Amino acid sequence: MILTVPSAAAQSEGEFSEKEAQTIDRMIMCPVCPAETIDQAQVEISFQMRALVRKMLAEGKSRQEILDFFVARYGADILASPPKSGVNLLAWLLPLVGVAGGLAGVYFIIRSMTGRDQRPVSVGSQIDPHLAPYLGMVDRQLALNRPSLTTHASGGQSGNVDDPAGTVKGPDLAETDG
Amino acid sequence: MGDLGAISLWIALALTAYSAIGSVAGKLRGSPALIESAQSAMYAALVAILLSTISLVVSFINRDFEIAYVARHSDLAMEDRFTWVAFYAGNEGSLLFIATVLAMMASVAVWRAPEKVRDALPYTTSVMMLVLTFFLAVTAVMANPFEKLPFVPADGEGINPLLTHFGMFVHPPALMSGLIGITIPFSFAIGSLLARKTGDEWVDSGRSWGILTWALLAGGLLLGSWWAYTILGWGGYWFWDPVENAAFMPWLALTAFIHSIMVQKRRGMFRMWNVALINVAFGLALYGMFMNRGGSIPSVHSFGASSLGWVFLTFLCIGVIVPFVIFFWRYSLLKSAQNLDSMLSREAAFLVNNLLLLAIAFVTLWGTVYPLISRLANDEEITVARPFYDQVNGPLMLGLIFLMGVGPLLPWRRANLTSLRRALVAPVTVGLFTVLILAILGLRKDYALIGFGLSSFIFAGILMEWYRGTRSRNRSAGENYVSAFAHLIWANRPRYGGYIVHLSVIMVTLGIVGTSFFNTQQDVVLSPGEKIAIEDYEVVYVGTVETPKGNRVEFESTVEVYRDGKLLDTVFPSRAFYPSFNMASTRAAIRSTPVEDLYVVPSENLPDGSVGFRILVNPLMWWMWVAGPVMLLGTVVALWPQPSLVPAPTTSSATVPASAGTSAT
Repeated sequence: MILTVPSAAAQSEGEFSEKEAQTIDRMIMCPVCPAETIDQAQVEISFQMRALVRKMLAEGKSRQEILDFFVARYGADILASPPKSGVNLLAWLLPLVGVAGGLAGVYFIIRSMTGRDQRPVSVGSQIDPHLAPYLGMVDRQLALNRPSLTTHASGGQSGNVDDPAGTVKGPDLAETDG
Repeated sequence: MGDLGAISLWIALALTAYSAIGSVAGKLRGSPALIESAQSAMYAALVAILLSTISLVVSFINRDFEIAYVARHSDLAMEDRFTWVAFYAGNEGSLLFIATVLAMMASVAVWRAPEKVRDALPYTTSVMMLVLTFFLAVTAVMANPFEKLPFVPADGEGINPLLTHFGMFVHPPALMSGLIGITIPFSFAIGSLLARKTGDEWVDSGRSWGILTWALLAGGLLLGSWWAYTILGWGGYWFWDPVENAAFMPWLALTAFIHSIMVQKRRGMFRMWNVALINVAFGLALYGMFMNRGGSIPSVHSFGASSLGWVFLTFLCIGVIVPFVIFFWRYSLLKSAQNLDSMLSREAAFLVNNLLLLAIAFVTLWGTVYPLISRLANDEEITVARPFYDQVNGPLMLGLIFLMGVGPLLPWRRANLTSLRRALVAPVTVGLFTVLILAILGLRKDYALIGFGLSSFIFAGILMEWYRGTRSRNRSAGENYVSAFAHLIWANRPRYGGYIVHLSVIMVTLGIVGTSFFNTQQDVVLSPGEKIAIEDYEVVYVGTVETPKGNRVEFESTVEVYRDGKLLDTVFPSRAFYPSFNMASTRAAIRSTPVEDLYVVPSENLPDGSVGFRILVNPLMWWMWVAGPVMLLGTVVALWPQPSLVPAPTTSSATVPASAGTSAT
């Protein structure tokens, strides 16, 4: 598609992809506007730079050549994101390392927490004796094999009263958040 | 009038300082009378601040240009309704606005504080009043809105044209309220620590105020995006601008907080973590408010560089260091009541949720400060803008969305693999099926496929939960499906409010994926009568009417939209040029349907009557804006007061009352 760009200095002759031109526009910052790319900025120099991008694309230049051209003239800060080379690689690597480290951290924290024996809860309360047979029925029906459940009859964890197995489906039985 | 405002401001400052000191002194000395009087001082301060606010409003309405702030942000031509916006258009007014909001929230928080936090309440009050004192002091001493000019100008400078859009009536107040509102849950946490509480008394207040401020911030962020979309004229909605990021980060921390606080409420776990988290959220909120006034990083938002930056930076350091000192001091009180049972449990899922949210916040912070670091370390200025965040935050957000689908299906404590598989089968099938269909239809972009697949997976998961719950009520209570569903939501408001909010998140995801990967853009100059084809539309430029008005020249263009030869719509994009500001503001004409937006905005009005247009087709944008009201609904449902469970007695000899452990219906 050939397009006219506002205030274009000269019409390009070759064919190029407007989509590609727009993508490149979004990678180049406007030198005079605060934090806008030349795609966003509606000022004269931005229009001129956009025209230049299209002219170079029409001449057959590649994306990297065009970006290098602008960096040579305006400095590395004309690019919308840090170059993935040299010291600026740090910009990309630090988040990666940080997140990976965080995930590992969470993994080990969870593992260390689940490794310990179950601590009996200090908020002890007795199960209402009328409920005990029904709880037993529920357990049998679910046919779960969890060691902690064998202690509930002797007045164990209060967390079990409303959530015996933890996997009962249906909000009215187990899920009483609030 | 201005004098009344200035005096009220100073009186309020004195009252809040007294309230802050008196609350703590009263508690330490065991003097209920002192505590009482400190509390009354807080309410009195609210009255004084409101008086100050009202006098500024009246000064605006009277166009009292002797007051410098009024002269700078209004003029005789300004319509009265813009007084609301002009109030917080500048540093001084926005600080007064923040102080007003904090005073109101603090008063309500104390007034409605539940019985169980009574003991810690004086400390909580003190923290809130300390923060309020800071803001009032900065306002009164360094940025006084009632400062007078040595003469009375004939006319003011006028209000910034970018602020004359409806979005500006709601976006800044929502954001400012959300940011300063984080003080409330923060104060409850710190108050509880100072009062040596070992339990979870502060959790209910922390949760309620946390969700409220979360919703305010989310609304503010969405509204800001919508405003940018309709008025800034480049067809996008998010810049990753440093000031945007500064509001985004506390929101992420708050999102993490409102999830992990649920674990504390349900199981008494994550006690230390939640205090640390709300400290971080508060610190980030202070950073957000600092960014708005510091001017250290160029941004479209900055109120301009000012010496206020240093004061805020100092307060920010204090606001981060002191709470963490208190945290470590009282660390030993915060042991969890329970342990994590399994890696495959809702608790663990919440931990990963927190990790991802904080990771996104970290990446955002990193991207915001990297230019400074680069400048200081390498003497080279590097820009970090959208491409960076797309590549780094994008995958993190997809991971978060995935977790949002799986998490609610995980039970507390330990998941039974068979029942988990049963719960996951249908949603996962729907998700994969969606991906398959889209791929067959020709869609090849990986992130888009993943995004759509995850969205349908989560949507299916939520619907299945709703269906199963409704069906079980229908079977056990015999209700018909409609009333069963209504009762289901009503009986489990926090949970179902959460589901509704998750639905709104999916809608936002759809909007982001649609516009990021499938939008089409054309920049053209059209003379009257000329047309251009974009996607399956034909856009015809008819003509422009130029109207000079008081402080601007307006250019309203008429554009016709055709499809298959039929006229779909006539739209009127406009552009106004303000000579005194040397700035233009645009109003995009947007033809919005759930499928896509056709977006037409003029970027240039040339003397021969032709207009430079930017025309965009933005698929699925509509969903992002609709997500706002849905999210609001979910928040209201989640926050609607639910009668609390009767706690089990703590002595083992007592019997459990019959009502314990049942949900209130």
